[in-house]
Amino acid sequence: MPPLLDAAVRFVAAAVLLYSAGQKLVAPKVMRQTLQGLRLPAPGVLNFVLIAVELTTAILLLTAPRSLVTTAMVVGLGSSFAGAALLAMTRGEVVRCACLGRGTESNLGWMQIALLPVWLSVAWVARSGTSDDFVGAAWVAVVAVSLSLAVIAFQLRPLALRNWSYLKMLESQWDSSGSSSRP
Amino acid sequence: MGFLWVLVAALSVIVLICVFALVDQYQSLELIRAALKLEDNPSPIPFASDGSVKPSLVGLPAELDQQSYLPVLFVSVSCSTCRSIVEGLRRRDFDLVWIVLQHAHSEDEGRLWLEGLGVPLARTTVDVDGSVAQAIGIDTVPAVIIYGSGEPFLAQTLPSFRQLQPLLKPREMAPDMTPPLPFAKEGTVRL
Repeated sequence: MPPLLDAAVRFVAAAVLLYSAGQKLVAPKVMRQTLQGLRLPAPGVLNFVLIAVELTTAILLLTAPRSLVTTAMVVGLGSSFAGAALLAMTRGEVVRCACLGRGTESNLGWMQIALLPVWLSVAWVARSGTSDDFVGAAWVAVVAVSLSLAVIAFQLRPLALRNWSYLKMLESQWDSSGSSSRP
Repeated sequence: MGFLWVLVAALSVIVLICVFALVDQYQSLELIRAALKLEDNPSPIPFASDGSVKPSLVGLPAELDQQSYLPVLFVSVSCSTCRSIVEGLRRRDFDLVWIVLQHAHSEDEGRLWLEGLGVPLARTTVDVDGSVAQAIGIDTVPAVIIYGSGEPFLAQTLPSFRQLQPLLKPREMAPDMTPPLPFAKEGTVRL
């Protein structure tokens, strides 16, 4: 297998897991509702376990991809996503999941099951890859910084500009109304 | 060296989480503004599209009928939002817009108000008796009606200057085309 392909697969998988874990960490309520919908015990604790596993798996994919622990964690994550979908489908219940944060909400179902082979492939590629030049803590930093820049460019920037524009509008109306509470 | 990279990696992940938190904060702010109805979305104003509200027919100068793109602003001497909108316009090309000033008790009062804001009087009408606004059917200020070669194709309220900004750029508009409301995205909040 070409080392670059192995590295690319691991980087993308790690970025997806970092993104997912980050979203769950800042808005835990969204995922907790999904776990409640699945009627799983202790959804709050499970949510934090899931976040920890996703974060750890992402880091292991970049620092110790050939390890059996990494393979087991990737397979375990993929299986748990598919298992959750299967659980919802066999019960005939509609369970909403914002698996990648707000705005990505969809029903748990065939998508998660269809992604199981993808996760298994990621585990296999990581386990059998040869891209040892792209392994180490430095690549965690590279992926995290790249993801931060992408989130800043495509999510934070439009939101911040909208907010800035809104505040400027309020400020101009505040000025025009002659308020004396401003210095 | 290895320890330093671990530190850098940990800090990078923390930065990523902080960026996510910031995104979440901004999204929450937008939801709160939407819930409290604090957005500044414009509302459409119905107007006659049978040619009866051409600038020359409602009391505005006849040469405005020839202007290929003309936003006509309706502002009032007694509204603070109108003042902020006109102040925003000071930086813009006044040749592009026409200002109709409402609720002035006299032409002199209207001129003083406009001069105070640095508006060139040659591009204004002081509508003391409200006949211009009445002829078009505008009873809310601030508001704007956009003409293309004398034909109106859009009328809406103007809750803020930023809602006027996208309308200041001339646009091609077919006469029989029903335009979508081209309001600033900044005013849109998706719930």
